[in-house]
Amino acid sequence: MANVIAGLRILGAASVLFVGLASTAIACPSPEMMAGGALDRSFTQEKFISGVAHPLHSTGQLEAENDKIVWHMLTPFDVKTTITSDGITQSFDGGSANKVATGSSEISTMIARTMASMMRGDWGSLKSIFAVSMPAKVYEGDWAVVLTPLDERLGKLLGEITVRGCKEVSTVDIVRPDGDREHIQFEAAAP
Amino acid sequence: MSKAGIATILLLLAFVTSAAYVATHLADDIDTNILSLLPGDSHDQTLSGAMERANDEAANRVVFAIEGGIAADRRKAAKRLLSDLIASGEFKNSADDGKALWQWLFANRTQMLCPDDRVRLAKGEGGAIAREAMVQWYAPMGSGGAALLKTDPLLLTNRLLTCLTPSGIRMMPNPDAEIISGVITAPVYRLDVQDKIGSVIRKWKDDPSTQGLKLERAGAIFHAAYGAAHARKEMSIIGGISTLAVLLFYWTMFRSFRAPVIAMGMVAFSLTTGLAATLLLFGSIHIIALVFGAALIGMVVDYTTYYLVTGLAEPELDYRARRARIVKPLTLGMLTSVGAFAALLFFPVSAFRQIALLGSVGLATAWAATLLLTPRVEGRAMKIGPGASWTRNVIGRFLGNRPDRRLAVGVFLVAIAVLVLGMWRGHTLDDVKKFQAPSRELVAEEAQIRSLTGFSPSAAFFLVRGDTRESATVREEQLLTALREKDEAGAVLWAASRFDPSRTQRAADEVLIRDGLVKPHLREVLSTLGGKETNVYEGVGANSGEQAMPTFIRDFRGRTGGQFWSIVPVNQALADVPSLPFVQFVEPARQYSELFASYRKLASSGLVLAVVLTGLMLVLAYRSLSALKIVFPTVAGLLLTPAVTSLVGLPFTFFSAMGLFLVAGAGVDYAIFQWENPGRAGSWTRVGIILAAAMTCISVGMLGLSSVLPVKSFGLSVAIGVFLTLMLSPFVSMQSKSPASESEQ
Repeated sequence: MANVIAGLRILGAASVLFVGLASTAIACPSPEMMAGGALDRSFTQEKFISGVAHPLHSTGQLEAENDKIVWHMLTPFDVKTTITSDGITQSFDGGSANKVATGSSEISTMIARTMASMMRGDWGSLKSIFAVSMPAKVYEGDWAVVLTPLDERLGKLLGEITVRGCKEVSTVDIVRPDGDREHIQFEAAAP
Repeated sequence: MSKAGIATILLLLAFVTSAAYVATHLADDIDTNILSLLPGDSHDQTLSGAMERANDEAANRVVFAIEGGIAADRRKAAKRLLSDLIASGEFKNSADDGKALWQWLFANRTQMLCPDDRVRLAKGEGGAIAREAMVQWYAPMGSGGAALLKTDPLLLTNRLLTCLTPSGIRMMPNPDAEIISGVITAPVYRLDVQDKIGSVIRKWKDDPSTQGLKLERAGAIFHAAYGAAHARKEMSIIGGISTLAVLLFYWTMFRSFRAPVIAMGMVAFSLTTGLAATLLLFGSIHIIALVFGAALIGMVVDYTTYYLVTGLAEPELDYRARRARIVKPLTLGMLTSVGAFAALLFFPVSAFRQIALLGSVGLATAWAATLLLTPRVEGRAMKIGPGASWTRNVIGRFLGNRPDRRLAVGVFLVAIAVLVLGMWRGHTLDDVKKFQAPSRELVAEEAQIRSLTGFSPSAAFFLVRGDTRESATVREEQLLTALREKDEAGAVLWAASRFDPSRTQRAADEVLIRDGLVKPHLREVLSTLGGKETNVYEGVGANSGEQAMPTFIRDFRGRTGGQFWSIVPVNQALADVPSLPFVQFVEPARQYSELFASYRKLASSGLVLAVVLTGLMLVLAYRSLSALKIVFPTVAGLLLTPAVTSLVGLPFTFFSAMGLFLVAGAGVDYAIFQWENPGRAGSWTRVGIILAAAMTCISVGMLGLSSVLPVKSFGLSVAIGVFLTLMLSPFVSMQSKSPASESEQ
């Protein structure tokens, strides 16, 4: 009898788990269904460098509206990078915004636009630079989209990017060919 | 064997050898560079060398853009194109330059600074620079990694790369297009190189996987290929029409196909020997010289014509007697024509010197072949054809009339009116940019590539000179400082001194980096990042010499004789050009236009000299001052031709003046024959000169259809000039006192 009860408990737990999984699967829409539009998400980033014991830890805020993207690192440095169609500016510690040199601005613009497109679920625009793994894989309930740069040079610079989320992007992981990696965690968007 | 027999065999041997030489060399040695038409500036060898280098640097670069379709297809198509271009053996990918540039900057990272950083470090702002490096380390997808943490934690190489690379050059992949850029490693103006790259593109376009994609091209090689294709087409049209005209005219004159066969044989003979001599002496031949070579067809058949016509006039004479009839005027005509061609040798334009040699050798061999070979291959006497009768009775009669005073006055008044109108309406043109209309398709493709890559190349540059490499580099640095002070530094594309500063600047930068950045801030950066290599920058400068400088940077420097120089290309017009004694701002198009203007004037003065020399030759040949009348039609033709061409809307260019040299040569021929054979006795001679002039007008006049202004103005000037000198040739016999005319009268 005890065995039966134990068995029922396991079955019950499994049912709960199954129902839970099913409800999670139902709750996560396809990453292609993510709402675009304006963004305002805070993030925490950890950068793991091979041979270095502790990751580089930073926090900040990502804002995007139309063509304007603001990547604002708050800690350990206060650096606000603003990208618009007119160019790219950077300000430190709330100071005045200065134009960024062409080479840097081009890289920063590409990175910021990539990040904004990922956050908005604008996978179509990313396909011009990355091979986008669609349909997304489901991983622990969330979906995961893998981006691989089409350009070999960019591949060496960025490596492979995995974007995870459910209704919205929650994490971005970047793994580089040299073994360095980055993990960016986004806070849930304000309701 | 007789002397004539030996000479004939020698001529045939020369022809066979020439034909073999041309057959083995012509295909690979055709130069299609429009810039080869530009006069080399012999006054300033350093400037010439720098302009040539600047042109090579710009000419060899190519960029391809692939648009349309989806990114993955574009990527695949780009890989295919790149692989085929590399396989052609004539292409070097720019990615190799990028790698070489990174390695160079990395090796020199402790001895070079961005101009802004130099100022900041001098102000003691090393902390801010160190902080910017740390921001890069913390930035998402930043460029810092484990390898750089051990070798360049302050990211000095990244800083140099981003600040020294010209603004407007895209470093990141373009989301809308695949871009391939590189350098053609062989001379882009060689036809075989153009054909090789052209076949790679054709193969790419024909591949089913590239359907739906669009390929855009930018680079001088494509313009050269377009120009060459045009020239080939024009050459075949001109050559074809000339050949048909020769066949038709000869048949109507002699009612025999033997005559045109003999004439074409002479054309092949003279052109082959002329080409062989040109290739042998110059190593290559410009495509324009080949086009002018096609025009020679009409001129070399003249000599055969003069000989064959003697058979119509006096069929009872044997070939020796007939040859004797023309040997003097033919020789004199050949010498004056060769003299006119030879005048082109005085102009420092390789293509014109080639034309001079091709023309001179061609005419000389045509003369020799006419006198030695034609009588041997002529066979039985030819009959008078309907064309010959008509020409003799209508045009010949008109040209045989001795003009009276009333006609002379009338012609004089008309000539004055044409001259005045021509001077009123006429204008000169020396602007090289207006000489050849580029392909609209290529221009549109280049504009699209500019919008995709943001890079706008320019032919303008600063030329900096010095007695030593170090002094030239120091002066280049002074120029860059002056440009910064005028807020014009952004116009500079590349400057070798930015990548390889002077010893003084290197030493100063090394001290600034060491004392202002590394010593006070490296430890803090490393402790934040978790790095351990505190001596990472020690001894880096000592090993910098082991790294080879990227070729494309090294090519901005040169040496001519004992003078060291460097070129600093700029990508836009400068509002305020710094005035430094050792620096010269060079805009090649303007420079060449100014040279063309001066050579146009020089060529015009040269015409006066050519006429004077011709007059002297004639006085010496006839030992009579009255022989100077022979040059009258030529002088009138030379004056009236520019006026007439201006009335049809064609400007007077350096090339028009060059064409007038041929008018001088050919025009004197007609006048000599008129002088030698005036009145009724010369009726068949006039048939010969009419036929000769018609051939020249048709063959060279066809050049007037060319899309290239130099060729067009040359062709029309020659055709109009020849026509005018022929029409004015009767004035030679006005009160002529030549022995022949006297006996006839």
